[in-house]
Amino acid sequence: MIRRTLTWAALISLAIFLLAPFVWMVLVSLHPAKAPIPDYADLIPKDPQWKNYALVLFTPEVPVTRFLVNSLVVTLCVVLGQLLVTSMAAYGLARVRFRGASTVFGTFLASMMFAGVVTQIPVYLLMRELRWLDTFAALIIPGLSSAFNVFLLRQFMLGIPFELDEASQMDGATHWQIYWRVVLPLCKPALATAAAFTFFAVWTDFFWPLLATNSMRMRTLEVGLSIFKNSYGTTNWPLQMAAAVVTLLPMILVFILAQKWFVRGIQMSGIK
Amino acid sequence: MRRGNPKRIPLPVVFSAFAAALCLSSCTPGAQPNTTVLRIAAWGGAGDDSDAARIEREVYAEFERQNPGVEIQLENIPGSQDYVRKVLLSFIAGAEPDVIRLDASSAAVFINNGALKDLTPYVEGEDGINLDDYFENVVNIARRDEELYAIPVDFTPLVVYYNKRLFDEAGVPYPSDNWTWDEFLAKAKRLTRGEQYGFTFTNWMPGWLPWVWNNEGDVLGPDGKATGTADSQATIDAVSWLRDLIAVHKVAPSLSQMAAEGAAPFANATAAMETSGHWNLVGLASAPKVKLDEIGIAPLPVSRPGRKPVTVIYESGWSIGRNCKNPDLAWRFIKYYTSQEVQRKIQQTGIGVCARKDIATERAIDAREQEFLRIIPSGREPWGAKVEGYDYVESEGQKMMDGILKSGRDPARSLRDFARAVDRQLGDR
Repeated sequence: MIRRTLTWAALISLAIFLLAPFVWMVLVSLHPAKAPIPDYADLIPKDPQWKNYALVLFTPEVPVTRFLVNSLVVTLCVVLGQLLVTSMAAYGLARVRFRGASTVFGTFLASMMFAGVVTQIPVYLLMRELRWLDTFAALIIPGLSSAFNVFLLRQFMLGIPFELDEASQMDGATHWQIYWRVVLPLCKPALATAAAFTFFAVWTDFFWPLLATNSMRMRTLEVGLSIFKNSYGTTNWPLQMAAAVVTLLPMILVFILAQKWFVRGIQMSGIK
Repeated sequence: MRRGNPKRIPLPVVFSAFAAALCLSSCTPGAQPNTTVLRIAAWGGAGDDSDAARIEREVYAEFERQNPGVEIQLENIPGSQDYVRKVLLSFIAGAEPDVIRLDASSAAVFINNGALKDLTPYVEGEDGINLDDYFENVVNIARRDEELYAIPVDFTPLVVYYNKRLFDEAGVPYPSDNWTWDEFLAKAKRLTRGEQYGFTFTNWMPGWLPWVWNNEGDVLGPDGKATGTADSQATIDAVSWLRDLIAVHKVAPSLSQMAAEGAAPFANATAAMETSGHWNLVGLASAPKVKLDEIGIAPLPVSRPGRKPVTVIYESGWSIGRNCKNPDLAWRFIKYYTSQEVQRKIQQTGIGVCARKDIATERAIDAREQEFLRIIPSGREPWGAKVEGYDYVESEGQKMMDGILKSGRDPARSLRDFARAVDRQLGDR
């Protein structure tokens, strides 16, 4: 009984601790636009400005619905595309024996040692040569590969019994069929983990979408909604916080819906 | 094996669906034939408040009306460092916008690297403008000898804001135009009472460097070196004096206190004075605890009587990329945007002081605007307008100030290390 109470108390205080910034964000977002960040004593707005959300969502100058669609298209394409591309690479590295497999895998691992910013300029120049700047292609295609996911999926695939491949080969299955019908369905937990990580990374990415797009209509939510700063660097805090809430909500929704997969994925890959 | 949904979709279908989605997504609606697109890079400003956004939109729409066949593509970029990185990279790649909003604090990297067009031929040309209409020290920020790289739009000097109500309540006389550090400290002490502080100090280097200037110290010398200047006695004294405001006299909240509260003490009327720019008025107008009429503006105090006050001027203006394909059109836009008529509309947003003297004077029916006008002649350009890579100095300067204020490091030693680090970094360029 005491243990239970203690557990609950610990969990509740942890929850309060973790929720506090979010609550603060929501409360500040309800203060009048342009108002300064309030003192703690005045944190609860006397006259909640729900219209801040309307301002953020429906100002004609800031096409937030367009940002949202862009973010969804980009995130969906990158997540699905990356799962496809990296799982194929992982299959090749885990299940197909060929000369130099370990060198190829080593190269993948080595590429993880570079910080992302190092490759950003060459990728930007490449995008320009291909005339992809300010298009969806620039937002999606560079994100299709991920050395980390190749690594994650390969390790997972190594744990799947090879007898399955052999049995399938006996039945005349090609590599494509083994990959698509045998190995991939067994990789669901790992795929779910990879998908969750990729989703959060792509959804919250700021700098690449900023570089790769110019016009308002190509902006993603993260970039599009960060413009509540004016030219001299001062910030319209209530509107900025309202924008942050708007950006966060889809993420929270996805997390709640995919929580099962997320947790199970981490557990499974941990056990393996 | 015919169980479960994913297995039923043949692989080629997945591939082709994906490829199709990509193809579709990479198509963008191109510009209409016979239109010229003018790409304009500016800060995110347009979204920060609906009045300003509406005015900006009308101004751009009017330009399109006056110039049939021209379509403005506004490229709003958030932040200051992100703005510089993005625009710089677009220059390197040859994918830069036609017209660029140039901020004084980061102008050097663009001007010194030849990214921008000299506007002198346009200024003096048939379709020119009269630079006498502008504040001279503001225009000169983007000048290199005879060449001019930007036409200023608006600017602000850094000033001391003070809350007249809090002064009255404490029975403290308002600051004078040539007040000294001693007077400042005496006032701050009397204004510090109860929950209230006399001053609020920021570790943000652009906010404290002008104080150092008022003791004839600085961060870089005429030779461009930090050693000999940033570690000079004048600079050490100024930094020590600033530290003592918090550490000894306790007339300003400590940095950790500020961080913990995350609030703006001056705007919440828990501090009586602060250093800021004109932009501050926009927020103060919506602050529930201060009234705009109770806000006073004074120049920064000087360390010793008889010294002339000096401050920094932050400015932004329009530039044209060196390889701009339609420089004449770009110039026509700049001339239009900086015209008296358009500026009268734009400056209603009140973010800065108009770089045009006529509009700035028109707006000075307001008492605070008058104070700004009086302070303008004492303004000089920020180092970032002349020295490339100055953002490094600013971030190091902030870290140094943090070390002094939070960890109690010795100002003389900190400044010496800081000067060395700056010289090493800037010397590499």
